[in-house]
Amino acid sequence: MSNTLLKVENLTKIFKVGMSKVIAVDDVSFGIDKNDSVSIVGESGSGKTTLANLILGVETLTSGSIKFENNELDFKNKELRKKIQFVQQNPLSSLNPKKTIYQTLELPLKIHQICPKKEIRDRVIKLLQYVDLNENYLERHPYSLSGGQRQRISIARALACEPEIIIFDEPTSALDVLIQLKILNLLAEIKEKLNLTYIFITHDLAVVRNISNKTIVMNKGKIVEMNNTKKVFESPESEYTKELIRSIPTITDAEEKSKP
Amino acid sequence: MMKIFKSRGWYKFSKNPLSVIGLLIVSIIVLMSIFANYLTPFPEHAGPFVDIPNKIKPPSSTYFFGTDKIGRDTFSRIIFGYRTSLYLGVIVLCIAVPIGTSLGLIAGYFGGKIDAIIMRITDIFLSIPPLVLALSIMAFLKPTLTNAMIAVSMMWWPWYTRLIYNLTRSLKNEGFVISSKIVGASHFHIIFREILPNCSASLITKITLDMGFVILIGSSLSFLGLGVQPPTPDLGTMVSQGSKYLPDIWWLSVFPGLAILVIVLGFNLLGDGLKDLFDVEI
Repeated sequence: MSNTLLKVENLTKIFKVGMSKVIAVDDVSFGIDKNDSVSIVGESGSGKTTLANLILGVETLTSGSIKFENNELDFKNKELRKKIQFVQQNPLSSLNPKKTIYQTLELPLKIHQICPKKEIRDRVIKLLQYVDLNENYLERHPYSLSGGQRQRISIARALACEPEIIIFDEPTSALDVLIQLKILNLLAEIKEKLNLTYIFITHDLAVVRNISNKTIVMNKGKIVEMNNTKKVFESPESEYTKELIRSIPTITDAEEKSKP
Repeated sequence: MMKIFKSRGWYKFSKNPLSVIGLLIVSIIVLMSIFANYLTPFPEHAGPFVDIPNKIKPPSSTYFFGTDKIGRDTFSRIIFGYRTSLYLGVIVLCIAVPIGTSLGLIAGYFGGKIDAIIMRITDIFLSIPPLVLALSIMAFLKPTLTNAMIAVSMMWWPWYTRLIYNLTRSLKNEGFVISSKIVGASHFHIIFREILPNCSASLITKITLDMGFVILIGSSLSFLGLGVQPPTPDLGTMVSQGSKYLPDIWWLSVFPGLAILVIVLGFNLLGDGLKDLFDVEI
């Protein structure tokens, strides 16, 4: 357990809705090692997005702790802040429509002083190259880009902070299948190159099987299963996981029979 | 310049002829009041000018809109009156818009107690009819143009607070705002670089629509004798002074009245055009 990068212990988040309380994340504990690629799956409302928001500091936790390299996560600390970055589900709203791609990408570089001012432009071009785009995109606005291109820009923005962990919230669900495949291949390539750790929040089990080595299954705010992806698919322990796997759409009878 | 007329935005805007008419009216009035000294037949009539032999002349080719009871050309005075009105409108909005916008941004973005305090004060201002509020402020102040501007600004900022507050509340949950937070952007950056630019379309539209209303309120104050004082030419004052001589010397109040109608209409048509162009709700 020496190389545990992110450690989540007894994490609980309670939302107050009027007079009643909703427990979105209920006593969740897990660890993520460096270079892991972890999928957090579950149906809508299972608390997976809230969990991501807690790790990202978008929501404040009710109780429990999140540790990064054995340090309590404190989002006022800029050094820690940049270590965990985020790529959102909806590429339409994730980029400011009033900013050019250059303005979007230079922001993290300026905030964290990642490179000297003179080199910002070169650095932005380098980031675009990471995601298979080029300098022709610098002065364009998000509305002139396709969904896949916007998602690439989002990925480039996350990479700009030189993070250790990138959290993806349904990174491909708004894209068509071919683009999905391209983005997933790109992500695998970048992970290899930059030695990153990925957390995928998704309900697309086909994606899970392809990209992650560990899978966490959540239901009603609790972790119901946590194991190697292969094991989760081949011999799921909980009823809920079995049900999830059974619900994957298949094409052939052979595939249907292979389900647990 | 020609590029504008070939752009997609212009095409969309010009599809509605009323918007184009609004733009024309506003441009003509603005140009005329800027160059009033050269464009009016009698620029000296704007001040305390007396020409008794030519008093109370009905509209003619020399005096398009007739002359008043001390012989001043109504047409020239209307153009100079436009200058006063536009000056009032611009100054009032230059005060009200930044105040209202920043309060709206702060309340909407930070929420909580700050939100409650700012928005309740705003609600109090909004619950009083604008003219009544301006009148009661004017009751404490001397009736001058500057004080009229202060009074109108005081009642105008809450509308911007409301508008920007609502926009901020919805924009702050947009993906790009959350992303810039995660990237580590400061509150200042998020408010002024991420949220405010995305309010600009609504702001520009509302400012245009409001120019007409501010001018109307300013003229109402002058009409009641609480705004611009003679001899400074002002449309409201002219209507009020001329109304004593109705219906015989009708041109003294009818033409300034029509002038107010035209400028308010112009700004409204232009504002509506922009509203359709930007596709915003005000």
